[in-house]
Amino acid sequence: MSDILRVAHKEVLRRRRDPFALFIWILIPLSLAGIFALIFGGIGRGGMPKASLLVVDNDDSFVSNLLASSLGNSRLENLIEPESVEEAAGIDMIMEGDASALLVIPEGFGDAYLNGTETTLRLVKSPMQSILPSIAQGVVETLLEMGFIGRSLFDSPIRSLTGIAEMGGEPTQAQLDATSLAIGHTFRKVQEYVFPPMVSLEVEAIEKEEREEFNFAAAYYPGLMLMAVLFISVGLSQDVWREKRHGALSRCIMTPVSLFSFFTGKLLGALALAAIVLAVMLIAGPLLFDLTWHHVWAVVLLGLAVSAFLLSVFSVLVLALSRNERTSNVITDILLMALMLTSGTTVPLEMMPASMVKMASFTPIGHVLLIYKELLQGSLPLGKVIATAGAYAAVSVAFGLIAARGLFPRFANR
Amino acid sequence: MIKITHLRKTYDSVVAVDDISFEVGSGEIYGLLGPNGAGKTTTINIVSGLLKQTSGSVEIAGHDLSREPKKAKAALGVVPQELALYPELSARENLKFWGGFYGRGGAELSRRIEEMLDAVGLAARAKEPVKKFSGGMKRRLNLACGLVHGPKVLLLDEPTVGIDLQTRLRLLDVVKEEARRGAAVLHTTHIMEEAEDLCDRVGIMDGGKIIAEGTVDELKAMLGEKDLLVLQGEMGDDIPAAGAEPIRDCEVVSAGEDRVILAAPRGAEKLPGVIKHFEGAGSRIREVALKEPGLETLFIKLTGRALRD
Amino acid sequence: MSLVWKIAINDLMFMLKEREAQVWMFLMPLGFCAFFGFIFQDRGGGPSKPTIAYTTTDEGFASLAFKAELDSMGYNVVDVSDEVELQRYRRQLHVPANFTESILNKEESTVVLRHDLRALSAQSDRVKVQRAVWRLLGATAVAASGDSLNERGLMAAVGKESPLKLDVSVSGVKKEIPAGFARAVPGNLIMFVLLVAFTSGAISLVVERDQGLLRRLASSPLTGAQLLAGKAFSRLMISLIEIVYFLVVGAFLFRIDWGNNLPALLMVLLAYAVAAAGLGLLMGSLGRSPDQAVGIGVFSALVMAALGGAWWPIEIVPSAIRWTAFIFPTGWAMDGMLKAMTVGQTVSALAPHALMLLLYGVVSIAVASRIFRFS
Repeated sequence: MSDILRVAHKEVLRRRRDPFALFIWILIPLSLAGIFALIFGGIGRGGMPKASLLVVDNDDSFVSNLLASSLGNSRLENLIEPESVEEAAGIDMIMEGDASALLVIPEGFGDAYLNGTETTLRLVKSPMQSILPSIAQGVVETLLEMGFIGRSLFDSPIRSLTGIAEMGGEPTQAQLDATSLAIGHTFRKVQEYVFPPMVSLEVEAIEKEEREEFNFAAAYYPGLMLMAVLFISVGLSQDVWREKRHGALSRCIMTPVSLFSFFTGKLLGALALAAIVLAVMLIAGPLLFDLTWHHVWAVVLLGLAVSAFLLSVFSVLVLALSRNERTSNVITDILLMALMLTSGTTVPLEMMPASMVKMASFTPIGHVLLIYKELLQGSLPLGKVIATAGAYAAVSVAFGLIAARGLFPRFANR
Repeated sequence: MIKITHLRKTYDSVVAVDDISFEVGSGEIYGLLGPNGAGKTTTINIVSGLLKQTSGSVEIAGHDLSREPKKAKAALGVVPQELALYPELSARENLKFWGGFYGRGGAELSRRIEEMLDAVGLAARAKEPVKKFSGGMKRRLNLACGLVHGPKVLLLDEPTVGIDLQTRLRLLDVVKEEARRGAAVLHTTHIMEEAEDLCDRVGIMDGGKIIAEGTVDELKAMLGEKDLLVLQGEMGDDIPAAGAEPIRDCEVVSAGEDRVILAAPRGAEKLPGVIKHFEGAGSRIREVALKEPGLETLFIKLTGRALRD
Repeated sequence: MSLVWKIAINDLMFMLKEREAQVWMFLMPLGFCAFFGFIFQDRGGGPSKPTIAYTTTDEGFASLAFKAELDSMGYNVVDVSDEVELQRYRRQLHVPANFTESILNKEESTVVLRHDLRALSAQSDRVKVQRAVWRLLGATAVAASGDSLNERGLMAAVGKESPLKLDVSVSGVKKEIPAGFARAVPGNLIMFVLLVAFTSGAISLVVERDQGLLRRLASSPLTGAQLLAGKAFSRLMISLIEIVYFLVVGAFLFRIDWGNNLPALLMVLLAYAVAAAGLGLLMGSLGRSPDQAVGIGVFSALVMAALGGAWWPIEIVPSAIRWTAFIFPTGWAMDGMLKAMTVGQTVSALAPHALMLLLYGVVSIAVASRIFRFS
């Protein structure tokens, strides 16, 4: 046992003396978290950038002015930022990506609206943006629909007024009174339906205890934390090659220490380092981002279990499959990237289609990540935590034994 | 302390070590001398436990290496040819790590570590990481790691390769000190001066076999008092007029188209005449060497090749 | 010049022979493009409509009308009454049992949209369903105003076509907003060119330094400038190889339309390759060991790619920090590339982008030459 602990201590000491790799393994996920916070943190707090909508009013009528001003309605101020421009300048801005969309109100729009005849507005979207143009389109379409509904509701009084105007006359007081009565009558008939809306929409989460807002920290950070664990586990499983290069393996064979103890000590040391990385990420989360951990013990237990699992499995792969260090690097790089992409560490599970989330749940990282999401929301699926940690620990021991007893001595003697 | 009996190692059809036997007693330094590819390193690797022999036995301090590896290795200290150090750790940390595997710990190990650091001249740099050391310093630490636990048997595989004279002399002094303390030392080298200076007994190895063995004086006596005259150039097919003076009383060690080696007493006197004789017979001599009796001359005599060929 | 070329070719062969380099240059990009292209494909409609499960026991005309409005919003409306089957759907609309009756009685009612709140389409879903509700109310009001709030009247109101048309188009040459692979492949091109230059490009230099090869080269008839030129040129070539690979694989495997404006696009990419080469040389001059070179290289490439807009549409970055994209060559390259591809900007219009990228390259090489160590 003392030999195992001595080797484990040596591993930790080596990393303390040369912490660069450890630093990078933590720095990359933390930096990504910081970048994501800068960019998506604003979205989470309702700060999604607004669509810039340029408006060209070629009609300049009462109706077109009404449309343009309604774009500036306070209810829409979270979604769009309207700006009046000339068409040529507007097209230039669109092409530069300086605006999301350009709305062109054609000449005659007001007359067509009042007469109930067809008229076509143009919306030119910027190809330089992917998301905001669609938001601008949605807003414009909604306003046009509301305009259409209003037109339909008050069709008769509007027609009578426009008929008088077309004949070039001025409406008489009686005509105005009649119109006013008609509008009022219609309004009274329909106001219960629309003021306030008789049918309201409620939005609920499909999963229990899902939070209303998109909390970027809860979405991204657990994955990034496990990314750090993945990096260190894969990186340290490769260390046997460095030992070989340093001549340490040869010297080890020449000493009374067994290769089994040597390798087991390495695994234990690596696990200790993984625990340090996990601790740093656990502490950094609440300090730097809007994150509150619940049931920290469960987070640590699962993190260590998955780290031990990855360490032992990757060790077996490195020892069994690689004839040389380069091949070993290639194999682990491919597996590392595949795991990173599919398990929800690079792209949060929330942004993945359901099929990919299902696939992620079958990966060790993705599986733990899903439990982490539950823990972050405050629930404690105790059975799942214990079973998962236990299963990973058991597999780690099995693979660790295979590596230590069978594969490592062959590797060392090669 | 080291007993090697009919040791053999083959790789497919290549015989790297061909049935060698020798013993090294306590306090004795035994040198295994031979050119590259002679089988020295293979022998050391087998004795240190890195390689398994094809047949034969190795005993270290009375323990069979195959049957009691742990006990055998506990008595063993190895200084490999390649450096075997952790560059991130300091000299002291390396010594503590490796020394700890031999059942020594605490104050005893600490004392021994400081002794070793003093002996190899690294005490002042003990806390620095090894990656900052020069090549010579690393060699010294490499030696110290093999000695820190006070082994009864010491194996050194060309420990002075690529280092300066000062460092080499220091390392050899440390080895002598260990032998004085009673360690049995097996030392491989292809530097014959090192073998002559350090070793009590020498085994000359070539082609996997030990072709000569004995003390340095015994080996030199095998040559007699004859010097070696080495002539290189376009020498022709045969020794011209072999019975004629001045080559009549020269022993022909080897004769080839491009080199002729003769052994003769008072070689310095004979040499001009020998050169004239060969040139007179049409040979074109480009290089001439006169070697006094020594291990290298013995090696050349036994194998027809220089130690560094 | 031939010596420079010799150094460059030698270096290039050395880098290309590395298995790891081959994996990162040729295999990983495929995986990344496929993954991110799939993740970010247009799931808001596209060729297949998103499905919404409509659950209610109300069989009145208001429900029918509501389903019609949802259909007009682009949904595939599926009637689901079984609770177990309902769980299969990530987008559900729960309509009260007395929906039609409530409308007829002018009573308030609430419909509930249950969906994945954190999905990319969440906001879009909320807007579309809300619009469907308003359209239904509008149609109800219209029918009611004509005293025809019944199935016929309501369906007529729902089906009534608005004379206010909106002709939606996308400016530029592509006439569509890039999504899915059209977004992922260009972004990954930018990231991988940098990754390859920073890792392979830097590591090989560090390894040569460790092995004493640079020192040997320094003592040869080669001048320092020639040596550095050769090294820079090899890194330029490896960056160009990566770019060509992406262009070809993008076109044939991922069906990327690189646009008709190839001269402008290639100009930007060539300049980017120069920037990547210069930065790779700089990394190699800074790194003290292969591990350091890889660590710093990967970290820098990821950060530059993220902040430069290679990972997500730059418009979602808060405007206060959007300018940071143009601190890095990645920002210039992404912007130039997208403008060439989607907007069709010409060579002269994108010349400033190319010049900036060239400047990155030149400055990096100049700094690298100052700090370059042969041993």
